[in-house]
Amino acid sequence: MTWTHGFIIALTASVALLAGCNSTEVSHDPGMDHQAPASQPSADSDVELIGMPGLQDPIPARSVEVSALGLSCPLCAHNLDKQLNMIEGVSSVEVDLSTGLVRVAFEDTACITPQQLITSVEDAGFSVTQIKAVHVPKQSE
Amino acid sequence: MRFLNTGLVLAAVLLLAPSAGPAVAQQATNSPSATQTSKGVWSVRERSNLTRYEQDMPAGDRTIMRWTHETIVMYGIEGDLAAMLHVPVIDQRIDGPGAGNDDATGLGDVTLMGQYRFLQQDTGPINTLRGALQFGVEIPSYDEAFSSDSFDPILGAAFTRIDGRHGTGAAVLWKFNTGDQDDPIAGGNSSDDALYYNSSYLYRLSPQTYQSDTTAAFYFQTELNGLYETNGDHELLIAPGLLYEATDWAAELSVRLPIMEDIDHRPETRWSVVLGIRLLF
Repeated sequence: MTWTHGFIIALTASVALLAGCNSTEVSHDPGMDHQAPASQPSADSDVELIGMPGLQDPIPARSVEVSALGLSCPLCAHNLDKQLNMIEGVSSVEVDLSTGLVRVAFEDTACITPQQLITSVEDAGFSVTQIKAVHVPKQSE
Repeated sequence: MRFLNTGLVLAAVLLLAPSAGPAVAQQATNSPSATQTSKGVWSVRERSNLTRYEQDMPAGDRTIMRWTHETIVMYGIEGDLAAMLHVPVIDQRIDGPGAGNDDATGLGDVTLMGQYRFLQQDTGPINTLRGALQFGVEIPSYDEAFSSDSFDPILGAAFTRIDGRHGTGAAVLWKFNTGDQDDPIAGGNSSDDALYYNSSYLYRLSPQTYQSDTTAAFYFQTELNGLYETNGDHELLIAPGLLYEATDWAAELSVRLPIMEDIDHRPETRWSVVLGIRLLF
């Protein structure tokens, strides 16, 4: 085998593997909280907001589910939860690598906007398609 | 004095990462990738490489065992921009004609790199295609045995694709060797320019599918690592290995074997074993 063949094989294999981005469709969470308002696209973003007024408005819920893309692996997932935990007012983050759903819970006094969550996920190197407010039942007195 | 200087530099590099974040993921052991640490986050990677070289000399065969330990520190400047610092410590032992005078331990040239991600197509919870531009400079350590004594610019690009259990990568890097000092052992450090080209494939052995409580993954990896120098030297190595990733650390093992070599200006690579760990502090 000549050098030219070897070089071409190595590069061709790389290009062939990388070509034709996978057109896997994104599966959105089909379930919707029946108490939540209808979904709406955010004004300045492609992110779908469910149960919240707008990108820059505080989220009126104690937790949200963020649909994230491109998580790739456990290390990446941990990268994301560390980024989200840096937001003041976030009390816990759970990343589900199988679905890309990220459950973010807030402290009682938190004032967090969807934009903050989107920015944090993007700073971590991933994408967001949807943020859904989750209505946590009030504790009985 | 050489050990003291080397130790001080290594300690300083490790101390630069007081709050290191998660390590770079989905990256094969010997190939650059388009993944990087996130904004405001540090990662530290320790990689040890033991390589055996052989060279036919007029006075007899010569064997060189070179151990290179690299500390690689990465910092996320922005979500799509990161900086990396490679600091190699080298020890070599030579057996054969001329041996004894060429045993050495010291600090290799330090590489400062930037990585800018210009392509990101996330197509599923774990699937993604990324491309990154890599640019930097090799800074001389002025070590008597291992330094090129010159500032050598580097420019390249890397692509990474994750598709379910499969991860693929490709990278090319051009190093402009501006000095006239040769490292007579390792490739890419002559006075001639060097082209590094790499392709990699990772297959997730476990788990078969990610679950909600998945905290680790185990991969088989294989690479083709090529090096062409403008003095005509050219080698292609195959590198099978394993990679284990947890949430805050990863461990890797790779064995590199030559499949094609056309070397006239330095010893030929016989084999190389690479062990590494990526840590979260």
